[in-house]
Amino acid sequence: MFRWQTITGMALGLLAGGAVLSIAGSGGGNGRNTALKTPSPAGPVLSECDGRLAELVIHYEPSAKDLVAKVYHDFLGALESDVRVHVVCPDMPSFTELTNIAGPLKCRLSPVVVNHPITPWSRDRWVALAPVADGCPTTLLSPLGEAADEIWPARAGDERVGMDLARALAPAVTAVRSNLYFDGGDFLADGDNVFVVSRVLQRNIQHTVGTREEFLKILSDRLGRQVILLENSPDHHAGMFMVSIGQHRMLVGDPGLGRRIVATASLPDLPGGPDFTPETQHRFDAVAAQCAAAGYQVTRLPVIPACDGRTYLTYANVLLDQREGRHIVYLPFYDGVEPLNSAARAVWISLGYEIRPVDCTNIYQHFGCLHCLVNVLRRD
Amino acid sequence: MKTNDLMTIVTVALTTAVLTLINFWPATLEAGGNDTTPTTSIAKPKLVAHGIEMTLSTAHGRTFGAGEEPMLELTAANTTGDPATASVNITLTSSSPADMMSRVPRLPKALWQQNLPVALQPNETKTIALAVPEKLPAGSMIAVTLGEAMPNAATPSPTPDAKPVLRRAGLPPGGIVALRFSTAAAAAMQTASNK
Repeated sequence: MFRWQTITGMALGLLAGGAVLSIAGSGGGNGRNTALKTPSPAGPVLSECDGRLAELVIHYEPSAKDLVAKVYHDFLGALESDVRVHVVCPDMPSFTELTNIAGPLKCRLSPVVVNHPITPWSRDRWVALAPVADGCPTTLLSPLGEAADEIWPARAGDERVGMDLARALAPAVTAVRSNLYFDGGDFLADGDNVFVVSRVLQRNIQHTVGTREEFLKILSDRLGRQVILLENSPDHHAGMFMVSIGQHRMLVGDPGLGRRIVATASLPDLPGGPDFTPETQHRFDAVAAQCAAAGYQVTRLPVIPACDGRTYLTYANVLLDQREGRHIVYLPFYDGVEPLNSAARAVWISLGYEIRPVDCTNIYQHFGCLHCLVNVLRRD
Repeated sequence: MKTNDLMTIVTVALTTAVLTLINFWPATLEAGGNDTTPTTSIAKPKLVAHGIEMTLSTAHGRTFGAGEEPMLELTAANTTGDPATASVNITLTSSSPADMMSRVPRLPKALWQQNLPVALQPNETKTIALAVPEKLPAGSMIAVTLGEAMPNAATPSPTPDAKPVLRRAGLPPGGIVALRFSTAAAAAMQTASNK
C-alpha cells in the first residue's frame, strides 16, 4: 500500500503537470480538427517581389528525383551564400540524395525530416505571414485541407508540412491552420495587394463561408493586404500566368505572343497540343485588364498553355530576389523552345533583371514549375 | 511533518509532474494552432434562387463508390409567401490526379448534367429524386454543382465523352459545389469533408 506521503506527492505532481499543460495548450496529431493554443498575431503575407531572399523551403521526395533534379541543381547552385534552404524530406537518406544532386553550393541546406509521404510542391502547402514585430515568429498559414487527400497519400502528407516546419524551426516559426481551403499558389502577393484566383472562392463558398463578401473580408484580414479576386482568369495557380515585380508593375502571360514566336519552330509534346483558342486567350487578357484596372502597368510575357488546361510553358513562374540594388530573376527555360526562351529572357532583361536560368524541362509536364517547387519563408 | 515526509512528497510530486508532462505534452504545442477567425457555420451548402433554397444529398444518405450510378436528392424549399419558380442546373463532374507527383488534379470532366425546373407553392418543400445514368470512375473526386440555369437554355445533353467543361471559372455565376465525395474510400465525404 502507498503511504500517505506518496499519495500526497502524486496528487500534487498531477496537479502541477495538469496546470502546466492547461496553460501551454493542448492538442496533437497534425493540428487539424484539434483544439490548439490560440495563435500569435501575424503580419501581412510576404511579398513575392520585395527584399532579399533569406530562407526558402523546398520538398525532396526521392520518387520525384527525375522531375526535380535539374531544377534543384540549377536553382540551388545559383543561390547566394547567405540564403538558407530548408529541405523537407521523408527521411535522412533522401536529404543526402538531394545534396548529391545539388553538387557544390554556396547556399546552406538543412534537412527537415518528416517521416511521412510528401509531394515535391512546397509552394501550395502554406503561405508565410511576416512577423508582426521584431522577435516575433513568422507564421505559416496552412489550408484547412488539401484537395484529394483521401485518394492521394502524398497529398495527405503535404497537409502536415506547415506544422512539421513549425516544430522543426520553433520558436522562429509557428503555424496556423486556416479556416479556409486554398493552395498557396492560388495567391500572388506584392507589397500592396494579394491577387486570388476565383477557384478559391468556389472551394469555400457555402462550405466554410456563407457569401463572397465574407470570404473576401476573412481573406484580407488574415493576409493583411487588399484582396483582388481574379474574376475570369485561367483555371490554374496564379503564378503560372502572372508575376508582380513591385511598384505596381505586373507581368502577365500572353498565348498570342507565344504563338507568334513559335510559329516557325517546333514545340515539345504538349497534352492535346497548344491551346491558342480565343477563349483561353481571353482568360489571360482578362487578367491583364483587371491588373491594369487596379492601377498596374502590365507587360506581357510569352506563354504556351496546353489543351489539357494544366500544362504550361511559362516564364512567369519565377523566384525574384533583390540585393545590393540588383534585381535577380530565377527564370525557367525549356529544352527545344529556344526562340521562346530567348523572347522571355529579353522581356526580363528589358525590365532590368539579371537572369539566372533554371532548367525546367522535366517538371512542367507535371502542371507546375520553379515557383511552385519553392516557398519563401523569410525575406530581409 | 518530518523532513523525511516532506522530501518524499516533493520527490514523488516532481516525478509525477515530469511523467505527466512527458506523456501528455502535445506534439504540436510549439507548432501553432487553428485560426480563430470566426466564419459562418454551414450545415449544408445551399443555393438560393428566386426565394427557393435548394440543397443536395445522396439518396437516403447512402454512399456511392466506383462503378455505381449515384442517386441524388434535391430538396427545394420555398421560403416566401408567394408561389416561386426557378430552374437549376445540376452538373456531376469527376477529377483525378494525372500521377502521384503532379501538382494539381486534372481539370474536372462533366459526367452528367441536367437543367431542372422547380415550381413551389408558398412555403412548400419538395424533394426530387435524381438518377444519374453514369457509372462513377474509380480513384476520383466527384463533385456535384448547383447553379441557376440560364433563361431559355435547353437542357444540356449528357456528355458521354466526358469533355472537360469546367476548365474556366468552373461554376455558373452564383453557383455552388453542393456535394463532394471520393470514389477511393467507401464513405461518401459529402459536405463535412469538402476540400
